[in-house]
Amino acid sequence: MPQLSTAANPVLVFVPTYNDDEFLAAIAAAIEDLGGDFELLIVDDGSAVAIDVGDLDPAVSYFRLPGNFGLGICTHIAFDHALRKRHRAVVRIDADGQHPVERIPDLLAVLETGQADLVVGTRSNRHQGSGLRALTAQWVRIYLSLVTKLLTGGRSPQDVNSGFLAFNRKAAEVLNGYQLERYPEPQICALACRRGLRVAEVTIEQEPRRHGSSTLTLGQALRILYRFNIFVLAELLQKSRVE
Amino acid sequence: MKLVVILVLALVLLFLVRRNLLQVDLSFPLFAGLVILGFASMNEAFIEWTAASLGIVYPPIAIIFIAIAILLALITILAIAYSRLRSRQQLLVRQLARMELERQEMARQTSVHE
Repeated sequence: MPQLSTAANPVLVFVPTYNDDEFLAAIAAAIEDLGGDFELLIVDDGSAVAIDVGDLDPAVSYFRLPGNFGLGICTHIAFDHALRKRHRAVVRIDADGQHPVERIPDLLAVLETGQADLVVGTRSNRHQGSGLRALTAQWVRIYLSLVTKLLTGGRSPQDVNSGFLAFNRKAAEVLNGYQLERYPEPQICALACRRGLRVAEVTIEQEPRRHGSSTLTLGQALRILYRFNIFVLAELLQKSRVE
Repeated sequence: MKLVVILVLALVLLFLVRRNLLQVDLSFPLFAGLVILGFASMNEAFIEWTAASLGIVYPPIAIIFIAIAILLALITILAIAYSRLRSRQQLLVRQLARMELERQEMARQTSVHE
């Protein structure tokens, strides 16, 4: 388990979770194996059964939301914490064990060259999967990607739905000033590109889903598309107001 | 009879406010809607004028039109109030998270010093 960091400005690794605590211990162990100055923050987005905090190392920060508020609020909580504690960077990974923890240093290396404010872990195998849900998810991803490209004049990363992200303090500050939605990844990419943050990509290979299937239902997909379209419209209106 | 129905509905609203089941601020649009509907249902000249203005051939339909418009307005007002509450709730949750994470950090520091 990660030890309490003694570095002045460690990196905050933030893991949002919802009904998915099976891999948290493995993720924490993998972060410890990285050997850097990392602090782990787990934000439970109101899971039906609370995570057994006794299983976690005391060095791990943990907060359980009193209900399901969505990833946007979880991300704000991580940004608030990182900005207050002066972490030099924030890394977000998913709790389902699909993101390669060992690639975190690669994302941070790009951040620390000073040439990027946000680094996106673009999944080379993101279009895999079969069945109606996987197909729905794929079409939603393609649509979000296309619209984000149009909105940002082609500056957005290839995989705008990746939850494997690294932010420096500037990116955390800028993005924390906006209300992030329930599924904020495309919004984060679009806002970063449109607010002058430098966005870079690192290609990663996502681990196959070890249990269950995508939770994306048709109703959720429609809501994601609706929210994103409203966001795009608001951005376009804001642009025309500025002009 | 119309006046009695309107008075009964107004009394029900008053009862809900008095029992703190309905906030005074949120009861205002309901009272306003009741007054407008009451006025419309008892004033035939107003209904005929409204129907003629809106191109409604059968004047009593104008009351239904007004009622639907009031309902839509009330739903919109309530949706705005709900959205405000949700935003405040989100801010409070972020504040709560900040305090809880600070508490955990202080507890860790205390245990390190001990």
